[in-house]
Amino acid sequence: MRQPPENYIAKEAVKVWRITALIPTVILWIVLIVLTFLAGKFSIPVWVVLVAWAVMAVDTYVTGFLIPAIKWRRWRYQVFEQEIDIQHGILIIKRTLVPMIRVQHVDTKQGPLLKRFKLATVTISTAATTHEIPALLEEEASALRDKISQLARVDEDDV
Amino acid sequence: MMSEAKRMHPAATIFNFIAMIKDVLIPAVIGSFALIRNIDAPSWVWALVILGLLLAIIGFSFLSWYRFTYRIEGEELRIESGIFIRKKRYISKNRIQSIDLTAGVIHRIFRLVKVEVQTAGSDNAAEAGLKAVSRKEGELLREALKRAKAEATAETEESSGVEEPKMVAQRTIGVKRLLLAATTSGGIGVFLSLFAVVGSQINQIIPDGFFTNVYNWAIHLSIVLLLVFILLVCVVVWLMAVAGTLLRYSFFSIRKYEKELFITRGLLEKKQVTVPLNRIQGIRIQENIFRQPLGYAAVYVEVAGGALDKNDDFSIALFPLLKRTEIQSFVQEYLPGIQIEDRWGLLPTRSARRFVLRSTIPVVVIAAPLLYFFPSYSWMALIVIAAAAVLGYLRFRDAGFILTEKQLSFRSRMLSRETIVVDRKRIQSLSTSNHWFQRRKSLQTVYFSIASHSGVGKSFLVKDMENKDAEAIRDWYSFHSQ
Repeated sequence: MRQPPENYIAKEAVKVWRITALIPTVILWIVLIVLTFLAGKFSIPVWVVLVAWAVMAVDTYVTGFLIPAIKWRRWRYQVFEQEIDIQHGILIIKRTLVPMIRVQHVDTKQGPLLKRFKLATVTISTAATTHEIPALLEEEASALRDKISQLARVDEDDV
Repeated sequence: MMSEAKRMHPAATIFNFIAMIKDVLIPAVIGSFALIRNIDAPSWVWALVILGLLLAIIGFSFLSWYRFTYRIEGEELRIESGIFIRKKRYISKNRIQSIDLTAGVIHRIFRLVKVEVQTAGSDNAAEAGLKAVSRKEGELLREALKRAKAEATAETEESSGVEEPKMVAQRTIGVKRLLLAATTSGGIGVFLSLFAVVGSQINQIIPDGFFTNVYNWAIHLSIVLLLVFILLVCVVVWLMAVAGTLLRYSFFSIRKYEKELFITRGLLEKKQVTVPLNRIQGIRIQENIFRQPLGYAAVYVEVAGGALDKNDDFSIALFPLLKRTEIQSFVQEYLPGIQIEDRWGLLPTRSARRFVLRSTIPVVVIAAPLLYFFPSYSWMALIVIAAAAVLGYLRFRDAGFILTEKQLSFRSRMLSRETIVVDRKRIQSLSTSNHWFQRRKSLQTVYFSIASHSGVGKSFLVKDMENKDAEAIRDWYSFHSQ
């Protein structure tokens, strides 16, 4: 296997992913705690409650901590003069090449959570596909956007 | 030129009327069916209501015809329409990708055509559609809208521009070929899904006891009768598919001009499609399960830009049926830029198991509970599982790729065997992927995407390729490794 791309995305991405993943988990925890208190009333056996707690604990660890960490480690990108090389994926590792001459436009975008952590996502669109480099530091993202859009401005080959 | 505003042919009122019945009245009636059934009113009230509605719809149809005007002014096609909300749409000539003329049954009674103007925009429907203009007017319009383009290019190239483009090649479909195409079309799936849709609508109308009655009746039939019945349904569906293909591809002809392909087809609805050569992204050869053993295939082109032919999944039939041996010379003649090769790089034998498992496991998962609860029918389930395994093996055997200096071809099978051939510069992006099981066996999946309609794109993939083949394709595509 060849060398993976060189650049990592911002370390804070892990926090953002963790928060996004934990919001539904927190809701489930609240439901679970309420149910635990009510377990006696509905004559739910104790082992069911225990299993539910165990499942939730594992789920919280996996979705909230393990997955964001692995995802971050896998997320790489590198911008060359003539193409962009992206790698990501947890179970399935996917590597994508986007030639500069195929790039139609580049955007940066930012949701409330990304904004809170001063991060932004770079979106690269071709005539067929859209590719994202998630969660770069704001200034890094806009520098990358400018760089790609400048490199993409080579002779227009017909689509 | 044509700077005064014009209206369509008055017969457009009829098309508006039909469209309104279809889009407004029928859904409304179906939607409020339960409500209507519960209203107790004498029949003359109903007659009045229906008459009133019809009059209103006719009025609106007429008004929307009256308010719809078009004109060519300067370099633009200008369309103004709308009864309450006035809409103006201006389309610049050099944004126009294609102009299609279609004539349906009603059109042909009045000697009319429908004009659809397509741009590269992200609108699925035609950007501008004139529902009905006289055939002559339609052709004039097409010429007027196209001419600007010819002039614009004439400046850069030295040709004199406006004269008739030269026809380079032509081919029409023969009766024998057409019949063969119709009988092997395999459009059965389309009709089955049509049945499903109609069935779900009918559900609300037929009485409650009906299905239980039918079910009881069917249960009491012997299995032989049931099979005969199923066979009969299949034959009827097949005949409908045959009719569908005949309607679609009768009088098929393809003509090649210097810069475009011109395709006409259709029995009741005559369709003319112009395909600019420089918008062609790749060609796709489809051999369905009925045609493959006979050595026949259909050839399509993948075209970027507007919605040209919805039924073809946005690819256009270059020719509905060709002998496999004819394809190479056909493509050579009509699309000389593309080479059809036949030196397939195949997958390593260790991929076979993965292909077979992939197609068998879902069937087993579905069949297992059935086997458990109805053990007497296990032979049926086993046949289905065996069929899935065979299909999986075929998918393995047919998957492959060809890499030449400028071109990449992928071949794969779902049910039909599909071959896609594209130029390197048409590939918008290329990916390789692998997961744990694949990594363990040094296999990778390779995808590429090409531009298709409305900026969405289409991707093609071959699963479980040898690591080094996948890397070779990646290297071939990469600018960096050169």
